[in-house]
Amino acid sequence: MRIPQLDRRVLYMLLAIVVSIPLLVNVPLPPPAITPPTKSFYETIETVSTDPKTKDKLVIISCNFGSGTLAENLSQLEATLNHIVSKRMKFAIFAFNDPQGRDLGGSTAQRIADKAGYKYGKDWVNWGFRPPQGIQSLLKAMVNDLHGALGTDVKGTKLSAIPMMANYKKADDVGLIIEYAASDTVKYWVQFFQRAGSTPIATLFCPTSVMANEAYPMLETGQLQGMLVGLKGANEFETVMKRPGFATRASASLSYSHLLIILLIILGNVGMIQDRKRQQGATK
Amino acid sequence: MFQVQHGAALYTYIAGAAVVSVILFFALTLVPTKLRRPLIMAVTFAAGLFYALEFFWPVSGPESDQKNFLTAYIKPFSDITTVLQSFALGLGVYSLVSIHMRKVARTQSGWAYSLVLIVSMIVMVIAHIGKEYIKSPWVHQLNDFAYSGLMKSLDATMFSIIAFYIVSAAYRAFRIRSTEATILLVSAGIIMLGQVAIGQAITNAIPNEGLTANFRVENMANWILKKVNSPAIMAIDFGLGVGGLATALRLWLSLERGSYFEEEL
Amino acid sequence: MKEETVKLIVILLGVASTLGIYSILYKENKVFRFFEHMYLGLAAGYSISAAWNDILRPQWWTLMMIEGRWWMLFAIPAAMMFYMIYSKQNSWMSRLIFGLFLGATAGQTFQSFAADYFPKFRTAASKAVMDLPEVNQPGAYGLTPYSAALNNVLFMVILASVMTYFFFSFEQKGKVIPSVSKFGRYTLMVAFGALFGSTIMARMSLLIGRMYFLIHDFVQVQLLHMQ
Repeated sequence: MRIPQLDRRVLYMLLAIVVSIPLLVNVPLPPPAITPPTKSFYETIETVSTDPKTKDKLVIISCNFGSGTLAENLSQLEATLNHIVSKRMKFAIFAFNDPQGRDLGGSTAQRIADKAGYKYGKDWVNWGFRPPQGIQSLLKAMVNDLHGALGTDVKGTKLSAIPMMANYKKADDVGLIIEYAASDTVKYWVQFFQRAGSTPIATLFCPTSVMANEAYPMLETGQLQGMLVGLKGANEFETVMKRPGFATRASASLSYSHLLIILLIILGNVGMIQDRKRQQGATK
Repeated sequence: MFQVQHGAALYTYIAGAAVVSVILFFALTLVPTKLRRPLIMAVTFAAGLFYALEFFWPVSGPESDQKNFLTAYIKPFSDITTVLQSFALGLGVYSLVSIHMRKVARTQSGWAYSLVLIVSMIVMVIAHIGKEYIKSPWVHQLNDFAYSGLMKSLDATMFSIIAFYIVSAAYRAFRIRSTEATILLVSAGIIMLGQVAIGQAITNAIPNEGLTANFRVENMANWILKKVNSPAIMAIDFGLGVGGLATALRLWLSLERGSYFEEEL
Repeated sequence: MKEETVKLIVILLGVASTLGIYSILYKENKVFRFFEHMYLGLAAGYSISAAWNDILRPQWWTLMMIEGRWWMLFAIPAAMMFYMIYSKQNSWMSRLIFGLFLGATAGQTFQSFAADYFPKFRTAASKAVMDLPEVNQPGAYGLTPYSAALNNVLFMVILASVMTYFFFSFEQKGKVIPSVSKFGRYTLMVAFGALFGSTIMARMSLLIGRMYFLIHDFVQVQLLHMQ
């Protein structure tokens, strides 16, 4: 049987159908396997939130993503922020690569914080956006003087006037950094902030799937303590937390779209082999 | 002299600074051709020397706050360069606007789309800057429509459309024609199966304990990512880093050659 | 306008723009061109407003006009040098300001190289054969000291062979270097395959996000009033 040359629009329609059906109807799917980076990610938050030395320290939620990678980074943010507030840890939203991160992170944090009964200024704060060009010097300055380096929060209030920030003045007062990004911005935290205090700060990374490949060396070398890889990582985390969200709903679409791609690669190559055999037969 | 001023004194000093700026700018235009290249090289070297010197000069102080005499100036210098870079945005905006305004003015083919581009840009600027200054709800609503309604969706959609092209490429272009291509596709296949639940289900029967667990597809994928992908990416990274350092040195010392660097001044 | 009406209009605009962009998948058409140009204009406008709101206003205008640091005005003639690129006689002045940035970036490279690569060099070089903390890590399925040692050796071999592949400073002749280089090329193919697999997941995730917006946020929530 000859593999036909499919019009590309048929392929597009196939993909749209394969992705849409699991979002419309409940397609049965086995639960995902929890991979080691996700396990480490979860265990690090658990450790930091229960260790007496770190449980009252600040969590920096660094949102360096834009609306282009919402599906991955926002689902990671929602899953992890729910975990952070369930542990009653205080957090600060921060962005330095994309101003949209301040807005997307801030609005998500507001929604989750309101649900958890968190008060702005007492339990969480949004430091706002700082330009990426000066981030190296800013992070270095933040090590010893968070208030002086950052100045004000997103609303223009001096950090020294925010009740919660009275307890957090330098890197030693930070217990955890979680970076959400579509690029390798976690390296700035690792290079200039993570080990600048008296003890290393646990650093977790939530990259898009593409960036995860480049972050594996940092995970291997111990610079990162855990990682959620794209939407799959968010799905695994929601499974561990037993709190299904968008990532869990999307996992069926993700699975079947991957199967479609593999099937099309196989079909395409079978077609190529058939064509080759036909050509060889014709020349004989 | 460099002291903070307020009120009328501030405006006087700003006016004075404006006059001095004009004089300095005019003086710069009078620089003879022979001195231009050395001046550019000197400025390039001085800018790089500041950061290089701050890095190499011995530091003192507690371990968490080690600094030298230049460390305090890093942040102000960085802030100034950030401000200057933002002014440079105008170059791109001017280029974009001039091309499209020309199309509209001459009603060339596609001028209506150019008009859409310019109007969208103006609307976004008014809405996004206006919301900081104007309390009126219509500005905030305009910002909601332009940013949340249009820009966010367009941004996400542009990124997502590549998925369709990947499907088309998977069927038409990904061919096992050589050993390298075979290795690439087999590795990609394991990673793809290993990262989705339905792929993981293929090897669910294998127990997740002991040595046999290493034959589960998600563990194979994890091993490829940690033990093969990781050193390969690290090696590429090292090469990029060393190459970047070499290029940085050439730029700092103005040793770089090419049409831009050898241009007549 | 009521908040619900604003929310509905925002969603309708989102749906229209999403379907407008996806219309290119059928064929080239005016609707796609319209939304494409709108996107470019909105993105350019956003860049301008972000530059003012997030950089120029807090770090230049506020410092100059409200805090009274009058010397910030000198940023204007410096910035004007960029625009001298459009002047035939004085275009060399743009080289001056570009030179400042090239020099500053080059100078910063020493710092970022040391901060980024020295720890990586150190950790990669010290990946001792028998130093095996990972035997106790999550994912160490049935790992014995010997299999972990093998993993570490493989790590070093792959690192060295890929670096050998990229070494162009001398001709790779003989038997050993080309073989090592070939092994490096094959491991690069494995890495690129992994990158390809990850890219597919990333793009599919973004597509699923858009389809979820269309199906759930628009059809199910707005049209059918489901939650």
